Amino acid sequence: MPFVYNWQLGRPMRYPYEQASPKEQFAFVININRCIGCQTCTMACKSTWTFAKGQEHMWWTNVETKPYGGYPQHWDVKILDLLEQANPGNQRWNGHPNGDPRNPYGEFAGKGVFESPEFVARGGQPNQALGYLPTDEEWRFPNIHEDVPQEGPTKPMDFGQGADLSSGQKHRAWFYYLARLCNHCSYPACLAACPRNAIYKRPEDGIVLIDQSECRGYRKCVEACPYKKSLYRGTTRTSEKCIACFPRVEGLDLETGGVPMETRCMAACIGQVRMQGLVKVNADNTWVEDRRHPLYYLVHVAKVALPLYPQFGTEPNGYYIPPRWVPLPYLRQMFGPAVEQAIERYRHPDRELLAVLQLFRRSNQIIARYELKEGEKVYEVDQDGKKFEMFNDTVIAYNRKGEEMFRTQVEEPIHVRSAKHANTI
Amino acid sequence: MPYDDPDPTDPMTLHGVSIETGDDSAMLEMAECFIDEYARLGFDANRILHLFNTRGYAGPFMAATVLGNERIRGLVAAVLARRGERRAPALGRTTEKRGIGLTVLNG
Repeated sequence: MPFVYNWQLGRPMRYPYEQASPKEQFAFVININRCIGCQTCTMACKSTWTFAKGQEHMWWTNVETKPYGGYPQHWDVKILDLLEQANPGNQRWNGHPNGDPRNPYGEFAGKGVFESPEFVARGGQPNQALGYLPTDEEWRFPNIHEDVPQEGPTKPMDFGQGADLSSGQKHRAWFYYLARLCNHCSYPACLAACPRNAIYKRPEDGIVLIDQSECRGYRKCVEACPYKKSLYRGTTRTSEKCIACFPRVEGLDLETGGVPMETRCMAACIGQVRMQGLVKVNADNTWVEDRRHPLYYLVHVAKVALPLYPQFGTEPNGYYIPPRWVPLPYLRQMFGPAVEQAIERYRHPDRELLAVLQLFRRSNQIIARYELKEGEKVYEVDQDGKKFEMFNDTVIAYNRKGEEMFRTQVEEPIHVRSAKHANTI
Repeated sequence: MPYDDPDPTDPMTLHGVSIETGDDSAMLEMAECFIDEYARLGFDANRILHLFNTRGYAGPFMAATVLGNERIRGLVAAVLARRGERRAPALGRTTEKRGIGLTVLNG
């Protein structure tokens, strides 16, 4: 099996195909600190792509409550457990987070999903990746028991007593909302597992798609994807997955006049939690230095955005700003060893980070570059014993054509619609 | 290498993560974080309180349910005050005619 370079693991790893990289890579950052669990992204995706017969159980994008929930249920616990069983006691990181873009999180000394596939081989059928097939029940009830620990529905339209949060039935631990979609991985396990080569990664933007005319519904991709973002549709007997709203990313939507546009789930976010972009990558899938690209800044300069379960080894292209309030051991497991640093930087943001955070959801177009214009100091306070200075800088966003999309300030003024026009479009 | 014998207290090991429960300090920090984030986006005190009182916004609503409205109001005032006087409009003053109802929860 060939070796490819995985910069998130900080080392080469085995993968069924030769090293290849797209011209640009679809990527996104989600700021968990702002996500309030409104599910607007979930519904935006559902109402656009998965409203048809046979897709009832499908949520290409979903928001789950951690640590209780998951869609399908317990997906991450099950994969972590399988990896642990395959490599007992050795799933750990060596080294320390550092500034090297080839191994910013140190080196993963354990095994990823491509490095222990024999563990789950069944019936003489070789597997390309370690994985499992979720049961129908696990797919069927997204969010069940996530916010309330009570029994579930007992009859149609009965949402259970627990649905009433004020009833006193609550979980006793911390929680946060994890918004998920296909990570359009650099080394997709779904693609590796497909025996018909029906899954491909587009050379222009790295979006991973299933060719519906080639798919025969073997569900190898469903089994192999460690994030469980490939789903089977019984009515067509094929598997389906997030398509990254590729017509929008291609700039085909009339609204943006030919420049790339953010996906539906990104554009619908009311909490301004999400930012999507296209990043340039080298031949080994490390990121090309692009200092004024907002995603490059968040991932490689400020280092506040981290990949989801990098130890799985698929090099996911979804990055998360981890929540400030969650115990670190749990976050380390989910986002890798750089999480402490990321939270510290986010808790005490410098002026550039504050400015870049203002770029989230200010436009439907994908931001290709930003510039900063320094403004006056607004105030200075003591925050957790550290000096925090607030500057009203201006941040200017440019699209792919180099045109200015918008400019906004760190102290963003807010405009509230009048009651008369509250719902006017 | 120091990793030859896995040490359960080593923060670089990944397996066997326990979930801590008990006090409400994480909930308080989460509520404070939401207030901070939305204040940064330009929300005033009443709009932030509206988040905490709206069932559809599950995170803040859960925090308000657990911590109680009074603690949330106190937290909003404290966080906004920390951000400077002009970012801390008086609680209870509505920003527009339709206003925002502050439902009292049985927290």
